Amino acid sequence: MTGESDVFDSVAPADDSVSGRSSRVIYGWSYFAPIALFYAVFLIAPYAAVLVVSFRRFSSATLYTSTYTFDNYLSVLTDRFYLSLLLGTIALGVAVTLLTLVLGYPLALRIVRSTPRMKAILLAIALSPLLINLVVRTYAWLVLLGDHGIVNNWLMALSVISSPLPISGNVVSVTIGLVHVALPLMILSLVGIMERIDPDLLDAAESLGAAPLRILRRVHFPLALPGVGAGSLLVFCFTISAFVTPQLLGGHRYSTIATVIFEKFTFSLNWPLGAALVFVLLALNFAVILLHGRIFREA
Amino acid sequence: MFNRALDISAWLVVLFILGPLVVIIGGSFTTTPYVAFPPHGFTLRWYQQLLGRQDFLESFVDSLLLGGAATIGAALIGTPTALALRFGRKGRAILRSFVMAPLTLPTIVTGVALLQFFYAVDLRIPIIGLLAGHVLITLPYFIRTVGAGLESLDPEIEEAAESFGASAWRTLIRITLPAIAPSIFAGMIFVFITSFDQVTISIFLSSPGLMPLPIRIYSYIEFAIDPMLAAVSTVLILMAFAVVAALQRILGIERAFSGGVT
Amino acid sequence: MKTKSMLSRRQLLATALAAGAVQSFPRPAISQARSKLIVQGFGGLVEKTLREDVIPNFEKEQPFDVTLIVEDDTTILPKLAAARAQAPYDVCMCDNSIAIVGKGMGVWAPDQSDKLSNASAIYKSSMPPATTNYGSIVYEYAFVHNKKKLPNPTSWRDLWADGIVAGVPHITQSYGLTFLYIAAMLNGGDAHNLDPGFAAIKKMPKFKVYKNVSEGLSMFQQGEIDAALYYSHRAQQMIDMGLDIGKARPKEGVWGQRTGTQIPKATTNMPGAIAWVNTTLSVPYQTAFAKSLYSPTNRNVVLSPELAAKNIMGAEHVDSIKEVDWNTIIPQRDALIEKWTREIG
Repeated sequence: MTGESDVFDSVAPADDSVSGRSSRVIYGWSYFAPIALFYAVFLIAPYAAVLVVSFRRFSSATLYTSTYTFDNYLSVLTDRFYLSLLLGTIALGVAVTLLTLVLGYPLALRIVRSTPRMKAILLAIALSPLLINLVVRTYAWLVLLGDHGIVNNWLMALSVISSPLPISGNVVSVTIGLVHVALPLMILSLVGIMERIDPDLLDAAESLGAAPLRILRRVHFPLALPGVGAGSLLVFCFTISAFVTPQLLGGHRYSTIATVIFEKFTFSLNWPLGAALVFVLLALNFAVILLHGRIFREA
Repeated sequence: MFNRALDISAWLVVLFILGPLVVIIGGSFTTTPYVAFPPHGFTLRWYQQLLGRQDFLESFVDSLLLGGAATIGAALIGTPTALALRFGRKGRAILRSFVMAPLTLPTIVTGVALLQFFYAVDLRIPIIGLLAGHVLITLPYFIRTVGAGLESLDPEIEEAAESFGASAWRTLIRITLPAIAPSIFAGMIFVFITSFDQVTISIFLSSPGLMPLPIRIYSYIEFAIDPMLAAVSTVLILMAFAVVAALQRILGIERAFSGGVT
Repeated sequence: MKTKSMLSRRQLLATALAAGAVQSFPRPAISQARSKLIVQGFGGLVEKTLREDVIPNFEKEQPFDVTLIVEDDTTILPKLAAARAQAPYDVCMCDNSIAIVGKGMGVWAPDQSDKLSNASAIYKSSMPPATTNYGSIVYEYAFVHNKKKLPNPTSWRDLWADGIVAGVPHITQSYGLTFLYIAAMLNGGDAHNLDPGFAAIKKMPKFKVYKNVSEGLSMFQQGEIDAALYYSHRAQQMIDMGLDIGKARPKEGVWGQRTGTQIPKATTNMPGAIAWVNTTLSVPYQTAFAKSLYSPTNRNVVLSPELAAKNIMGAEHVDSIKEVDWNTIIPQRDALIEKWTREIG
């Protein structure tokens, strides 16, 4: 928490009135106390323990030995497999984020342009993926996307395809499943910001003869950008640390960093390597968040 | 033209969202011993079987209470944090990403880390561990939602109140909190839903006797996948929609989720 | 007693809800002579049998109140490892292979066989030192096949037949390691050299991986796989459900596994744990499980002819169930899982 002092220096307002300063400072310091305390106990301390483990040497008998080593990090960072796993996980995160944006934008727009009653119905639908149990939801996708699932059966019955499309147990089903779960996060972020854009903007543009798509791109989208930023960050972070969906929908044949971490901590019980992977993933995460902050700050 | 195109694309997305739900609801009535869609025949057998499962009911109650406790915990910790995050410039990005950290950490590792930690400090009350885990995971969602509401709040209103001599506390209680109440409420719903469906962290932190519903389902599914699980999910979906409908009637849900005052 | 403690825990949570903070701790109910016993067991039919046929009698006859935790045996080891001094369970249900991994980690109490009065009735092949757990169930892995797609398999090599989709059990499971071993053995490998097994699996025309019984089951039910190494008793259940499924015994032989219980060394209730383990070795316990085709290890279990035909019965058959050489394979486990992740999924 080294960043705190300069943060709170800047908290003080520009004007030097004593009352203003004191109230704002109260806002800053004391309001951070609960979360600082909570994170110190339930986040930093446990992760510090994991950090220590990441420097231990793996031992199949005792989990790890008491000697320290950099080998775990070296073996992660010099191994093509882990590097491609990292890249693959980032690519998946970006793909899911873009897809949720493309799918979420029209629905969010439709939601803000609806009557209150319709708005409630559509919002409930948009939220509904969050309401079904993760495991059961995943199972429903297997029923839909399997070789003899509904989608393939219909397509074959319509003679669109002659053999089942490979849309289960691979990156396709993982992506579909993740987009489905992540959509509510994106839609809620978009709806929040779109509510503040003049609803007549697009109609006005159309009546003036401007192509609505052009207005959408040139005017509406830039105005919605803060929502896009918030939503995409949520979706990206959610995606790259998700593990149940990739594991089950990937048919155990699709790995992300998160599934490998799970496997290292539970089945192979190689905690040191798993812990090293955690901190590599973390470093990556923070880089993405900072980059994201920069992009959306400037935009 | 544009509206037509918007309608079509929006309804296609709705179809995509509802697809798995339809499979689950339909599959819960099948007579086959596995989830089949379209269902073969029609039976309420799986619902009957569910009614006889005392353990599922207990887990449901556990999840409700846990979700409720996590919601209150997240609101108590998260609201001041969201307020504090409004100010400060230089280090705000760092501070914000620090606050958001639990979201970006692999939940599975947070689970292991907490488990190891609780044993190390010899915490003998597993509920606290599970509750802390849930609050930790859901806090970022809450802070995000409330933060969005605060962004749309004009700080000049509060400054005006203060300039009229209202104390910081008074301004907070009389002006700021009422203004962001809808987003606080939305954030709480978010927390509750996330906690209610939390598998990963609970796998490691649930304890004998305190077994949230998702863990009950997860351990059931390891050994059998039958339409009873579809029946459980159908019941949950219907209840969730009933709650949403009730909220709409009482509060107007679109207000709660539209990021605050407009 | 159990419901009472559940209640108090709920009430506590409710209080916490009302107060917004947890203030009080649940005090252990001041017990008379009875003490609490935490038992981990599998879900599904195992859980059902334990709840309906085992736990009520056990609680009646013994001064222990059982809390059942339903959990797969693969997640218990990290918990036991993290717990060190204070075990989250008093007794664990686990496969022999998992018990061997646990032994390597030093999580189990020393052998308690001499304190188990029922031990003498158990086939030697299911008790220490032959196994690392106290065996109460034996399984066989059959060549399970969809009769329409593959009417009459005779060799494990038939899983490589063109035009069928094979189910491959995941490496983290006992049957996954066994299948890897079989695949290696068919191609010139052995327990010390499993690489040919990986190569062979990669050469399968089409395969899907299943990680637990229910995934395998639903893949057969949904027609996603046509043949697999899979539990023989589960195949029998599919046949009883009316599915067009067969279970063959390939000429290369049939492997299996021995499931039972183990006691963590950090148990807080050793007498209770021993009483429980002894119960799992008893005739009534194993008779109850045999109804769901979990075959007994106690030589005195007598079943109806119909049920006996579906179970693995008799010393000869039980002793003949081969297990892979766990003592050679388990030490390679981390490397094998790593290789699997890299090459298969």
